[in-house]
Amino acid sequence: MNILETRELEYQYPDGTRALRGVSVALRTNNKIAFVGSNGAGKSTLFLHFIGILRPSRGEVLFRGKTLRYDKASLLSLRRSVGMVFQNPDDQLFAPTVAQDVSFGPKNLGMSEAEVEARVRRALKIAGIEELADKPPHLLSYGQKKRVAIAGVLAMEPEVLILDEPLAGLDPAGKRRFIEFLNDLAKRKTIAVATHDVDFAYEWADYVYVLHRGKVVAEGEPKEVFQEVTRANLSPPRVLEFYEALAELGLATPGIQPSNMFELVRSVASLGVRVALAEDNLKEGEAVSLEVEKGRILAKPSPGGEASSRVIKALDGRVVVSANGNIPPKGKVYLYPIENFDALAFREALAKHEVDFVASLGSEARLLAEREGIELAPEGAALERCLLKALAGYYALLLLPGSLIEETVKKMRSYLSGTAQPEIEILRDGGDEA
Amino acid sequence: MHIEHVLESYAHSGRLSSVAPQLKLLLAGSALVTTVFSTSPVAPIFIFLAMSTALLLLAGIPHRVYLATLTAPASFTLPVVLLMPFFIASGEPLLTVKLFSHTFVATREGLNEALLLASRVLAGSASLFFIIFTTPTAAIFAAMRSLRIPALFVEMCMLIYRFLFVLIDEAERMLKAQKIRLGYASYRRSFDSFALLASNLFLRSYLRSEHAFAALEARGYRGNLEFSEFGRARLNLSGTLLVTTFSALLAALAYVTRNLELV
Repeated sequence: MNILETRELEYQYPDGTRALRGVSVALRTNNKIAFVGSNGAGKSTLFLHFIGILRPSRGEVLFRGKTLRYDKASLLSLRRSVGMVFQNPDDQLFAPTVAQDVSFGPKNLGMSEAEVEARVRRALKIAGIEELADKPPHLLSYGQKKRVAIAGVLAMEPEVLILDEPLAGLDPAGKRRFIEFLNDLAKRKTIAVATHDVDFAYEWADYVYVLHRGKVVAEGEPKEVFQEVTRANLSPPRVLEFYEALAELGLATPGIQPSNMFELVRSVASLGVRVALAEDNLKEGEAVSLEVEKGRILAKPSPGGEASSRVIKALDGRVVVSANGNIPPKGKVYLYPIENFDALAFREALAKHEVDFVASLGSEARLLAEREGIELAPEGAALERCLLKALAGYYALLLLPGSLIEETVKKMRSYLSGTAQPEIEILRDGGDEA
Repeated sequence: MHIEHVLESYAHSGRLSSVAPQLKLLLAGSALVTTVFSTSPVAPIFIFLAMSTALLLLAGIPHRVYLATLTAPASFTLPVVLLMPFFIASGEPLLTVKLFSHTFVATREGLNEALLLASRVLAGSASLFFIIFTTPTAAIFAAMRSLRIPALFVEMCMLIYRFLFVLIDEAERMLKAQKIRLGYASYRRSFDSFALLASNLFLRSYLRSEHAFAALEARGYRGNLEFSEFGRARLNLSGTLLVTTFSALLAALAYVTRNLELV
């Protein structure tokens, strides 16, 4: 059953603006849902209906399959299950200190002082702002305020979290960090966001609604939907645009629809043509063997003729070769669980395995790395970045919570199914296992 | 760094921050009342010295910071002390100044009146600084609640305190936006721009209040702004006795010295 649903929702603001014109949407449990639309498309208005702040002029909101009623008890039970984070945190924070603000929701749910305190502590921890507990809101940065606003809603432990423009006003690093944080949250909750950041929605969401002038103009999985977003005054995701430009020129395998940078790169790589460095004088048609070295590919003459690569074109110092079979990757991905982390053992592992590149998965791992002064790759798409590096012959290490290892390995394998795979190795307390 | 950062950081980390806020409020409150009702400068001067000592020695506020804070009330007090004796005409003349065709006479009564006013300003300021430098705002609100001040009043104080900073931010942004378009280039334009800013600020405040109310409702607001007080210092008997005794002493001092004049 859908936890929240709307049917033919219409809403007219007192000034006559028809903000919603027959919107029917559903929030399925344990999904990441994005409502995409340009400014004024009706996203925020729709969200205010989800938590019963606005009442539809026509149509209805269904909460757990039943028509939502607007008496106090019904609204309270709705707001216990559905938490909303507003776009501007300054509108939401009102208490003199962060901890007090976060305690407001649980208090309204009528909890005991001990339970309230426990929930506040948990919420601050999840939001990664435990150290801000006693600060007054006006001394915080914008990003920090956003996290406090989220903690204030998380403390009510809702099943569904809806966020209005969660990325607005954040700098690029803050955005990546926030997306990672949303991904952590999405493991336990249904999350719906309203956004006009198409790139974010495309890579992040499981399901997308495109809103335009108060109507749903498209819905479905990101790959199905985003061909059409130009109709809603939005530009297509950059990955998709770039891919299409390449594919139209015959520079990428057609019909793929990559959902991120990794898949985009694979769509080009799987064409079976490479530019390799050649030290010897190679002639066109000559059989060569290819070797991957950190960040470059070397072509060497292979007189035995068993190699499947042949020189297509010889250039000065470089050759274009066919690479039908896959080049055996020399790089590796190490997975390093953050539990029982020991700085010394970690440094030793870095040296022993000649690690070139370290990335982190999840906020916990990121915080650990920051605490330990470990230099990290930019946030976001950590797994894909590591795979790309490994395919290019580097040794990449991914810091992650142990609980995510299984899922991560599965995901990496699925990315690379049917092609040569770099080795994935899990490092644990010095003892290695493949 | 903004002044509110400085104050808030001392209030959080100063050595008196762990003392129950009710006691500090009580102490400063009784000092203020005594100051207002005292008819002689003796008690206010004593309060000023006591509060300053408490701030500098007990709370550990650096001299420079405290002196800098004091310059504001002091700069207002000094001209008053200098000029006020000339404005109370009746009484024993102390000093006569001839300026052009006018004659100004400073009286003994006037001087006493000026000294009383100055001592009150200093004592009152020192008492307020005592609260500001030793007690985080959140603790003040908590103390107000525990002292049974009506919830509506405390909630209003809280919201005002919180949204004051939001309002200032907004006003600063608007002011900048006006300045870069030469809104204050001439005297006339300044009036127009300022009026525009003020009315706009009012409208935006109204909009903001609607958003804030929606946000409160989304978190289950049911008519009162309730939240937890975390780890506030508890009242202890010895502290309460100390503050009560001290307050009584202040009142007694004011009473005993009620007819005492400095000059």
